[in-house]
Amino acid sequence: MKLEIKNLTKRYGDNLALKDLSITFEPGIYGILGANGAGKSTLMNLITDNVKRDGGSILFDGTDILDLGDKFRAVLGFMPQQQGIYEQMTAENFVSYMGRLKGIRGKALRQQVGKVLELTNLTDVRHKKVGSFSGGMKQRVLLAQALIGDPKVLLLDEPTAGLDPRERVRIRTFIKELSQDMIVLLTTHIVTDIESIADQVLLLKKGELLRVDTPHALIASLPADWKPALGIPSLEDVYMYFLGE
Amino acid sequence: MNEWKRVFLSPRRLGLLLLAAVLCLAAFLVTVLDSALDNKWDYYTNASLEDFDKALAASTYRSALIEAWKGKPLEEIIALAQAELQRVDGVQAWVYSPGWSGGMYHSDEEAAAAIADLPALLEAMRRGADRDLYVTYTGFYNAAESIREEAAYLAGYSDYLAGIQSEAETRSQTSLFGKPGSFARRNLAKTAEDFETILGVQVAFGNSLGLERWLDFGLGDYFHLLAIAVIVMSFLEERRHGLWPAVRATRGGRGRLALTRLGILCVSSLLATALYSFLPFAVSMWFHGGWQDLSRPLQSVEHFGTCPLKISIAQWLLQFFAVKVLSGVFIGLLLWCVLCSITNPQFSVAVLGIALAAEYALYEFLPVQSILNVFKYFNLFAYVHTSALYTNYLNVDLFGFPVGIRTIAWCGLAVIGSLCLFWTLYVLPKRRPEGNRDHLSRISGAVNKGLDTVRSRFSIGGWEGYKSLAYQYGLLLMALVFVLSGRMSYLDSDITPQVDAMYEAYMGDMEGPIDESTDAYLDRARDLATESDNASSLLQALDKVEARVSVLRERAAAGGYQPWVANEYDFDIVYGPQSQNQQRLNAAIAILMTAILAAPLYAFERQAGVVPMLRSAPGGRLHLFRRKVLIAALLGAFVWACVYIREYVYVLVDYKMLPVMAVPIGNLDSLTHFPLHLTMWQYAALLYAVRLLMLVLTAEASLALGALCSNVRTAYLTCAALLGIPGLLCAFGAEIFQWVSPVVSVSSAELLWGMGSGSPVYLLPWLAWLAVAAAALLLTRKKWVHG
Repeated sequence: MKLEIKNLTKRYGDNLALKDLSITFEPGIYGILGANGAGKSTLMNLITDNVKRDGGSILFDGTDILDLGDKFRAVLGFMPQQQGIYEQMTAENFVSYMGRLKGIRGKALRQQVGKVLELTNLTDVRHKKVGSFSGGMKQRVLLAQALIGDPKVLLLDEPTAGLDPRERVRIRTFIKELSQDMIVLLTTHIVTDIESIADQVLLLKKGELLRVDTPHALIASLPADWKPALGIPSLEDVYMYFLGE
Repeated sequence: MNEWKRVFLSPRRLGLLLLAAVLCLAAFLVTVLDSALDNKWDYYTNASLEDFDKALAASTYRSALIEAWKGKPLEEIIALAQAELQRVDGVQAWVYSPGWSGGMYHSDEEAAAAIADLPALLEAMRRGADRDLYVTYTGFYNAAESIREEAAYLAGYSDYLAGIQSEAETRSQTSLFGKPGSFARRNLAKTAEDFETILGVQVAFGNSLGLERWLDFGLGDYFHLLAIAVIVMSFLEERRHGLWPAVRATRGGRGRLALTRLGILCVSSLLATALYSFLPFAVSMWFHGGWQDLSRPLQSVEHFGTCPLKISIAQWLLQFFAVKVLSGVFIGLLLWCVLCSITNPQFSVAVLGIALAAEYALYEFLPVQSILNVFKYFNLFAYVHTSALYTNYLNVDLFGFPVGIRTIAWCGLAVIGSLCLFWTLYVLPKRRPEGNRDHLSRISGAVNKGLDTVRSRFSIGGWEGYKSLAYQYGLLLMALVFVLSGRMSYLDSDITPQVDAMYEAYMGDMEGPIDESTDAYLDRARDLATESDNASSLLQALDKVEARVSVLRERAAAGGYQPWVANEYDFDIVYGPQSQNQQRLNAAIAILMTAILAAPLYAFERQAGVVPMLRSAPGGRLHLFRRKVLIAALLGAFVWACVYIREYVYVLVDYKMLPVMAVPIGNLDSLTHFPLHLTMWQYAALLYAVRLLMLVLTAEASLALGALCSNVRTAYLTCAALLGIPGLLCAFGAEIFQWVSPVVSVSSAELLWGMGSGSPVYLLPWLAWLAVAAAALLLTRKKWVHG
């Protein structure tokens, strides 16, 4: 299973959001780091075909995702950055509805809904309306809907934003478990989330891919005279060194 | 001061309240015109704004008569009004049935001389037998008739009062009412006692119509309620936007804010009373006159015949407006208490909606005689329709004691008002934004659990339907459509007079297939006519009838269908040009309803911000699009059923068209060249099928427009503005809007009838709307599916 991105380019008017980006993803966890406006969400939206690309191609197992259409979307799980949600629905309804849109039905749907609600620790509040949830709980509902349907490609845009440390660890562990036979792309501002679970880290700056490497290799690539903020070099130092202004 | 500015200067709120004032005034003017110009017989003249001058002329005529007759004995006024009725009626009799021997006038000159002082009627008479004359005549007739009725009421009022006293005495002797201590006995005594205070009141003749028409106008009360609700809803805004903790943390964010809001509520109620109550009153008085007669005793106005208050009309008006303002504050306090006592704003609105619906049902449908009738008057809507507390006299059985409905209402206002005041000023400011006990949420959790077992089995189509009905308030809107469409009119007639009454009578008798029985009827009619005193007129009419039958036979033979004698006017009035205005109005209303129902289908997704997620799912593009198109089509079909199936039933049953629907349409002059050989059944089926298609296309166009809007409110406004309003403007006479609205295509009646001339040009509006809706749908599909 491969997701290949070749010379991907996207413009918003005069602003170049992604410039000639090329990379190949294989099963594993890819953390995407970049400042606001670096192109992280644009990359996610291009992979989900929510934004029209201006150049390049995105191939899933050798076929362009635009040609695959619904076949690609059937293996896709997407958790967007904005907390767009039907506030009137209960958590169970929302996940169930998204499951239906992913083509799951009947007993299988009910089982999967129960499973992802359990994983995201929402079982106790499954019959409560999402509108009454806190930001962190809504975040978990969005994660649950992304997980339903056993996706092969999981795109998580800021999945741990608003979660308390315990939930973050729980979700992180879960994502790590999933990544055995899944391509997981996740963006986050919480660098430690990526450091602990990402197999590879992408550094994006102003639409350009600066570096792709393992967290350890990136940390090792810091110059010898770099003074780590916490005494020991970490991915936060990598962020500051490569992406800090 | 900031809170005052926030509430009163919000452009959206201000716009809504002013729009409501304009709509209220427009609705009132329409009812004024309707009551002035509608007759009470077979046809509705369906007055429009262009008839305003006719209604005003009739009103001026009425005011002049009242001024001239003031001070005369009531019996003389009744006789004078009767003479006026005959004078006016004689004109229409002369114009429409000049040969009628029983007519009052026998020449144009004679009729003109009789109404020389009524220039509007004279001018209309000179123009001949058209709708203008009919409408003008109706206005004058109604004016004279209302004076006669008022004088008759006043003449009998002292007897009525005396009757109450004597009846109380007589009935108390009977076994039914005679049991001491029974409610019936006490009620009789109380009624007699109440009315004793106005015994001997000197009711006076004067101009009461302005007041009566205004009292008949109940819609203003609902606008008043709406305005109060809008203001109270603004008190919830900080909760909706998650600002409650922040507001509560400020120095003036608790008790002082509540006090300010109470002030806002009082001023709002005052303004709402001025806009939705006093303004229509002032317009009514300006139109009908009668300012100078407000010093008469209250009972001089027929509506107050059963009001035992010994005050003048002016004193009552002062009391009424004060009570209206107070009722507004009271209603506002009640709404405020309910809305703010429930932590979840959405849930509080739902609870309030259910409570209001229950109150309305009790007020509207509980019989006056019911043992529970205390709930009819100890009811929120008793304070909405404040004037009904004065125009109805009723004592409610309260543990065997008769208590007047006004007393109940005032006691309720004092007690519940004080409690609400305490609650809003003392208890609610102490409520904390978080950690309140929320019993209702627990109940809703249990309800959701039950519902989730059903909802988790929904298909995508099922979900889309559910979202539309439940989350986008489709069910509520559909109920509203159902109720409103039940109040629509289906007949309009630009009255075409029966120029030759005898000819029409023969044709009416012969209505049906032309066969041997037709010839037999004609032979018999000729024999009878020859022996009649009026032989020449009857034979002349019969000649015309025979010529017509002959033409119909020849035409049917050539066309290959059965000849019929059919009254074309009956069909014309329902489906032909005579009905054009009414059909356009109905179509415009149907378009507006459809547009509002279908507008949020896509806008709701954009408002919720779920579009990227939906489009990332395999069923979230084409599959979802198809389901939404289907839901839009069903919504269009629902409106069609509410508006047009009702019309069909009305035409067949109430308008008694059932027996003549088998007529081949070639027998109607207007449809002789219709491209298909159809019976009226088939013609009607075609018409309703085309209407269904056009309304479905309207729903799809609305769906497409809504998809361009970022939220539901914008979608409603956009669809109403682009689809609904041009149609209404066209229906109200602004012909130019027929080119930018589907109103003619949805109405279809005039197009299909026009095709009776054989011209294919009438197909164009249908094709144009089909093309526009299809293009809009294709663009939406492209945008949603392919991005």
